[in-house]
Amino acid sequence: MIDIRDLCHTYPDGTPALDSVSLQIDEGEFVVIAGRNGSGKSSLIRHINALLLPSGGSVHVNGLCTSQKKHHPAIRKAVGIVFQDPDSQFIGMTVEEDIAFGPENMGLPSARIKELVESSMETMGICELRSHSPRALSGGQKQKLAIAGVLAMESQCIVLDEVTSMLDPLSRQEVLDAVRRIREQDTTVICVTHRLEEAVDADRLIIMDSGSVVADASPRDVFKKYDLERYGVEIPPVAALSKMLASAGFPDIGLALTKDELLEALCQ
Amino acid sequence: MSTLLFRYVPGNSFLHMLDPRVKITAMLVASISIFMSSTFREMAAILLVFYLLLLISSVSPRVVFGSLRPMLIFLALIFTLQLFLTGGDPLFSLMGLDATYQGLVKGSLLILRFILLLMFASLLTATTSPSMMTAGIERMLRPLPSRKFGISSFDLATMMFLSLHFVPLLYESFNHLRDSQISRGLDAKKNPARALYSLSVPMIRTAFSSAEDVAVAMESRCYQGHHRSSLHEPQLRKKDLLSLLFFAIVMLLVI
Amino acid sequence: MSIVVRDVNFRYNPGTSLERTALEDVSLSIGRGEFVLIGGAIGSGKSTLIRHFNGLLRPCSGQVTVDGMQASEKKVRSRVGMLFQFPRQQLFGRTVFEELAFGPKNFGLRGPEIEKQVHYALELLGLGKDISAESPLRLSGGQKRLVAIAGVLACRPEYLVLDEPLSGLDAENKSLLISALRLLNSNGITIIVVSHRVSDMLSLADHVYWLDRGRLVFSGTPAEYAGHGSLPLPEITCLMKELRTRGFDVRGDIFDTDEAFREISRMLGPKRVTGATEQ
Repeated sequence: MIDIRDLCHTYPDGTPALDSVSLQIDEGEFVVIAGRNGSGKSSLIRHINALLLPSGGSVHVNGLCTSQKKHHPAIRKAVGIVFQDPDSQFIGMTVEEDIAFGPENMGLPSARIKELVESSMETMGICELRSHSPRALSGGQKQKLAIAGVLAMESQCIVLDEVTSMLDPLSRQEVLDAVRRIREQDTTVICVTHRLEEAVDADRLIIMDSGSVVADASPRDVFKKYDLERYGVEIPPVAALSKMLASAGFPDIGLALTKDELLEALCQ
Repeated sequence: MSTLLFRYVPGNSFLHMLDPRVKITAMLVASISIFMSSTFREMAAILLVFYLLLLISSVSPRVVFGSLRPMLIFLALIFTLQLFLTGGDPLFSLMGLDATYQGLVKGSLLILRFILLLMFASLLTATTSPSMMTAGIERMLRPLPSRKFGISSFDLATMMFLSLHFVPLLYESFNHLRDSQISRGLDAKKNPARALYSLSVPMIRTAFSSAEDVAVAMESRCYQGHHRSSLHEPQLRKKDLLSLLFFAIVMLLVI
Repeated sequence: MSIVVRDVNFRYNPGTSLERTALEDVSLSIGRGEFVLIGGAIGSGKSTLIRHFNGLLRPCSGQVTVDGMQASEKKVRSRVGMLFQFPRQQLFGRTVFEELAFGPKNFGLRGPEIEKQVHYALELLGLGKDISAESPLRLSGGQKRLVAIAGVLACRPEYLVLDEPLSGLDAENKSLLISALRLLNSNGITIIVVSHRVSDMLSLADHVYWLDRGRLVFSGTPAEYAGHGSLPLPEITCLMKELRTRGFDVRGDIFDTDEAFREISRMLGPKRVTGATEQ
């Protein structure tokens, strides 16, 4: 559904952000994009939503080219973004009104908007918060609200831009659980993070560095084949530990991505 | 942190359910009669009407008084000025200025007017959600020829709405910033020029960058500045028009 | 010489309908030279607590003293340096030097003294002198944060309080910042880090506190923290504890990957030798 070819992007002040990136993402995939601050991952996802336009190359979403302005509403309806800072993305005064913002912009009739708001609040489990002010919510609730706002636009693809980086562990888990529920509904999820723990159950892990894709494979392969520290991303401590053990000559341990995997390997 | 000032109190009362256009027009009617009223008797009658409306709305009186509290100093100032600067029969004198009976009456009437006005306004905001308010204003502005200047009524309504949104956001970042500057020894009283510089430069940058963040967030959710619909589509029903007519007649009879 | 918090209660907006209790009967004591973590979920009262350390907030009841003085006294301000969360738009100086000179100027210092303090701050963080002529806006995210810390250090504080210093930083910048904090601590500066995620710094800390809805629910060493059971632990610690419950002879209070590696190697050690001889 997303087809990026030789995408280049240069910021107005001349700094290059993306250097000839090519990438295809299929419907229903769960893709994690990681890389250090300034590696180009944020620019990349802003191209998918037509918030940035290519300086070179092309981006197609559902066959629609982002360079043509007339396609922007359709593209933005298909791909929704949730941003890192929960506070600066709210537009409504109550939870319901905020979720309604996208459908309102699409000019849907009031009854249809109500349906959409209701169903996305249900998916995210925030129905009881409907008349709260977004500012009064906890960090995790805020991000769930932001995701609900995208769901209400019936997007096929949801892009999460470091949505968990400001959350405490409990809220983070809540949000990740909610994301899992969305994935079960066959929505494409693209998740930008520098914490690779969130990547272990992804279909694909893409690593970016200085504006290029340096790795694009299953998380296990990426962990195994690449020296990730070089790219400034945080390897899950458990995976790092199992890698250390394997290279110290405990070959039967192999590469464990999660705590339970490593436990199993160690117990044998 | 939310403020007590002109807060929306969610509810299901008759007033909450009325069309926002009706409530805004009723507010205008109320303001006109408040400013036309000239005796305490008339004001007492308006106050009675307000009290009945408050009962119907089931909004706590604390919300209304919460909106008044920050204005108290201002009201006291107006009252004192009127009290001393109006000529007439002296009541008592203070530091060579005479407080007059006429001043007492004039000052009381004036601040009563302000108080009534603020009370009606806070009842309006308490029973009308901000998005209903914008939807109402947007529809009332539609007939205006603002489109000729390249601004649609949608833009105007959204602009209003965003300014409501920004104030608490900026207030919060200002507090953060002030706390960190104070921690670095800033004493705004001793050195106002430095405080102005060190607080305003980052504040302006913060304002711009949050404006950009919100703009990007809006754009990514398909905002285009025209053809918006609304979650709560206000509908003028017979009930709404009749209520407005009834209210207008009452207000006219009162004065 | 310490920060002492005794039976502190704090409520926001007392007497209004928005009244909210933020701290309840909190008592703690932080000695000079310690490295202290204060953890807790967002909204647990951490930020409210640290604002009492230099008198930005005053307790509704109870008291806070810094080196024997009331925290609300002016003299305390220069002793307790504080860096708040999200300093993304905090810097205002045209150059790094101007930024760092702000604090010392406020505390009434002049020309050469200011310069001395600025260089002291840069040196403590291992930043080169050349950076002082640059514009803070041109620096990378990690450097910006270091400059913000330097801005506080230029006031020569004895205590440095940091609110979520690692949030939003990538792996490289995180380790840059952590080593800077370690360096500062070894120079005798008391470090107090407030965070909802204590796992990154447990191995550095002398003492850990945990707040939950305004109450102090834990106070102890990192090892005691690991043994507590109901507080969020680093994954490595969970792994080691689980190995222990399954009957392996390993320590359960390890937070660090390297240390876990040594411990597991020790445990597996003989196994590997037998495996090798069999081949």
